[in-house]
Amino acid sequence: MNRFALPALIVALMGLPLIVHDAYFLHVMVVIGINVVMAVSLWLLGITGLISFGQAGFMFIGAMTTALLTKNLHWSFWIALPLSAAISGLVAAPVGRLSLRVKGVYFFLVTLAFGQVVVGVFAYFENPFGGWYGIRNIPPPQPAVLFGTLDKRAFYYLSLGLVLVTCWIIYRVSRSWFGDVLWSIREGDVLASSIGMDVPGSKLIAFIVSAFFAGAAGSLYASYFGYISPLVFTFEYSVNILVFVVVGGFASMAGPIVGAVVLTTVPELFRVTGKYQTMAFGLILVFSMLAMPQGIIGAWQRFTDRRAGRPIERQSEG
Amino acid sequence: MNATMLMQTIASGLVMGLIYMLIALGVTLLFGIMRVVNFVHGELVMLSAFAVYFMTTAAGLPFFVALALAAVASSVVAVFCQYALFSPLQYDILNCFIVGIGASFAIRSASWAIFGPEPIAIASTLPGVLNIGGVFIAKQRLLAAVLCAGLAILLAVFLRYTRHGKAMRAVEQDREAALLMGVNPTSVYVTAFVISAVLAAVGGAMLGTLFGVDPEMGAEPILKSFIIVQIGGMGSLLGTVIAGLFIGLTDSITGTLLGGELAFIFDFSILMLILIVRPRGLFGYDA
Repeated sequence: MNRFALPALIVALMGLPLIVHDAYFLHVMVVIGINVVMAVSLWLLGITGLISFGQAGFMFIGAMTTALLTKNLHWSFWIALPLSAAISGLVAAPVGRLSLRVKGVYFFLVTLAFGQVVVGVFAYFENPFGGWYGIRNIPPPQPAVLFGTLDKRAFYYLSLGLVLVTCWIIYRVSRSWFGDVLWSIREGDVLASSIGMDVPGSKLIAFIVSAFFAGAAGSLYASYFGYISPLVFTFEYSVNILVFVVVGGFASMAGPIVGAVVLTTVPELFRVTGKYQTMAFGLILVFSMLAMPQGIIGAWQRFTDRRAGRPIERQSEG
Repeated sequence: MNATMLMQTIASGLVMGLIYMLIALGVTLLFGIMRVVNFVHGELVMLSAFAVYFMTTAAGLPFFVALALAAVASSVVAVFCQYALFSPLQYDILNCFIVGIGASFAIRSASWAIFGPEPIAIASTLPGVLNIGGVFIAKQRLLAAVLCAGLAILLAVFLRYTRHGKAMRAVEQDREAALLMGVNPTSVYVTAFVISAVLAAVGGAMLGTLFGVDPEMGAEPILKSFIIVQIGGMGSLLGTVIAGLFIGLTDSITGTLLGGELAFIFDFSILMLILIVRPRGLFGYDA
């Protein structure tokens, strides 16, 4: 990608609502934004070789924090947003400390169970979590002139802002010295620890940062939709996020972004909903694992390599 | 809670524990032999229950004939998954898990589309209630318990005393060494998938008679199986049996005292506790 492409894309995204006023289009863009934040947060775990199946659980914690703070305590959304992310990260610390004691598929299963427990706890206690009915009428952010109307442009910019901040921070992290530690843990954690890298500590930090951004996405979700319930942040949703990342590819951060954008847009285009969407996601997951194990980005890189006549010797994604 | 009620709770907990144990045994067997965590297992439970339901009501077959046919069908699906999904991925544990989830979602939502949401139940084969010293147990539950326990014992005998069972244990202990001794790993893999599918079929039929049949019914047993297998130690049959009974009992007791939703949270707390003191599980291999 040449160096003007990214700034041009950002400027285009910023100018978009000036040209397109369609509320439905902007709604889809906000949903894409939430999904991109979730996918990128999961990708950070992915480059450490970990995959969490409880990411929707952390999102739910963030959404619930925002719902309770803004609705019951009448706090401002702008305080609730960072606080929700922080509380999600705070919960991730002990959960990560324990679940990271196990590796590979064992870690999958523990995070999977964790996501179910978050749903279970919030569904069990009707006061204050609303039980299975969830919480409705969550107030939108201040000022009400911008966010309280049916005009989605303010939420579009809020969502875009969150996406840009998240992507920028996680990109910087993945390219930093700490990011190198994470990549090397993925390649082999015994080797990484043998040259003095703090494997458990780095994994834990990645887990907490990932949960932090999932909580922020949840906070945006709660204030945008105004309604949250245990039926939203299910295991299916965790898997959808994973599908974004797997279909997009782990190789670079463009992977989860492309995956989230494509897989949020395509079902909207065909208006497939409910159970058929679950079926479509299941099949997409199976076929992309079998046919495109390195995702869209991996396939694209191989394609450009071949066109440029470069030998194909990218490291395989495990 | 008085003594009779406690006994009642323990009895129904043991029955549930035995069914969960049977389903979890399939999961742990596959993990022990080829290091695959088969997420489709829960859908085999569900599909078998539907198969038994349709064969008993629509075709009017006797229950056990229907169960045998459902077990065959379940095995076919399992072996198909093995050849279509797990074998192309070289049984890589992480990729197989992800693909399994995809397949499981596809099967589950296809079942919603085909079978619809109406609650149905497999007709009881043994109506009536048994009174053992003031504790009432439906004969159907007793049948389920006996069937599950019997199959678990049969599996243990098969693995210990038959030639094929020994070959399976050999592959489990050391795949390369078993290969050198002339064991055919492909046939061992297929056998393992067939056995686990049969266990899932029986578990599904039992759950279907006791609690009804619906497309979502595979979800809870598979999650419970994962918790059971992890508490007992992945790949350890003994651990699975003990953890299965234990989870069945605690579920029943917490369910009676505090309500069903807390039971799962309690299970998870036990799992976390096990991870703190013994990450590999009670009888597991290295974590």
